[in-house]
Amino acid sequence: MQKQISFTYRKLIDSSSNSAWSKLVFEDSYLEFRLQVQNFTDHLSHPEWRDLQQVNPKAKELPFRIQPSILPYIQQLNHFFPDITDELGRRFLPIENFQLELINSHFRQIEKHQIALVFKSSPFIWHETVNDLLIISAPSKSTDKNFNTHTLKLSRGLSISQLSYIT
Amino acid sequence: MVMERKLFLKSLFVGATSAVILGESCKKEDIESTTTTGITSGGTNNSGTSGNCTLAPSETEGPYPTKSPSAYQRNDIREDRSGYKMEAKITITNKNNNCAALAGAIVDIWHCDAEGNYSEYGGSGSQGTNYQAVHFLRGRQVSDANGLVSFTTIFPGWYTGRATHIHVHIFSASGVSLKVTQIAFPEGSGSALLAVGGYKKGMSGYSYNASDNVFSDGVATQLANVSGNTTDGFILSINLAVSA
Repeated sequence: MQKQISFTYRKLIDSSSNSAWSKLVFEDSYLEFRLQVQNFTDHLSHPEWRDLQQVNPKAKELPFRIQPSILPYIQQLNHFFPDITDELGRRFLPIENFQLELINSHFRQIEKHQIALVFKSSPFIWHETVNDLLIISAPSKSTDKNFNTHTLKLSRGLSISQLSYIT
Repeated sequence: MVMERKLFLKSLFVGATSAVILGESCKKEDIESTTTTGITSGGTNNSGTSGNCTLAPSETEGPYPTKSPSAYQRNDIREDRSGYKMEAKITITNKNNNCAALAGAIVDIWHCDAEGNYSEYGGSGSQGTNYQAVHFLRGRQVSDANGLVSFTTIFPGWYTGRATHIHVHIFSASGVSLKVTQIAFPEGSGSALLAVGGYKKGMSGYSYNASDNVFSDGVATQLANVSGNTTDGFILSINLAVSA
């Protein structure tokens, strides 16, 4: 019986993010928020996202409308999770799914803009755990018992979000 | 925890397996690392570099970010939607400037597909098919010196209660909303609307402009000109005036 696991990584981006990539995502998602929120007429009386969500149920569309503004930056990741590397320092977790969460924002105050990018990986075979390191490999149809593996340490923000038993 | 280079090298000799945090000087600015682990130089080959960390192959350097326009910013908004091809040409004019062309305006358009479904909606009573994760038939262009934006799209379908329409939101160059409006389509014999015939749905139950809740008070400033045919495609053109 084989165990397969998938990973989810939730990356917070706000005014304190200081990498060039995160800053572009922060700025462009804020600009898109400002454009899209103007589709909801009560944004002037409720310029903060937290309040707008409460008063206008339709506003829950907003995170979906913001997502296209950062799709080019997700594409620039070349299919792998940002930040998360194996023990050789290589990014290797393939992005199977991605979603933008809008935590908060404000029509006039960019410092309140905060989003989370949630990445989900495709499954990996979980072979063993050595101390705090997972030994994993991409699933293969081959019946060969030799595997090319990655060694991964779990870190804050990275979670095993799916577990399957495969016979 | 930042480990100084000499301590790090020493730790290799004693076979330490604990992860090492890359020092500030090793990180390219474009890697966001809350906690970044990695070995900065390989195995026992520690003689090398004085002062600088040695980065592993290009994968470790993460993405090289390039400023990119939103995925909305595109001329062809059809994606995978089928339907009769239509070129939409919208000219923005400024009432506050003798109706001269307005350049630099941000123009968003969106409309439903041949079945009457919108992207980014769904899973609720108003639209059963869930399209929340896709963005078809939505696009953005910036008006040129002639105030013109052009989109390649399909002739829209329709849904219960509404005449065929295209949503338009016009913003100033600085992102301030100038106008939210909808484009209406000509009706009657010889019209593109009848030539398309509502796609597979047909026209039974269709709400014409006079009984549409948005257009029933008059469509004079919102009615497009639509020429062409189902074989060669259609061309829609309209002038929209804003106060900028």
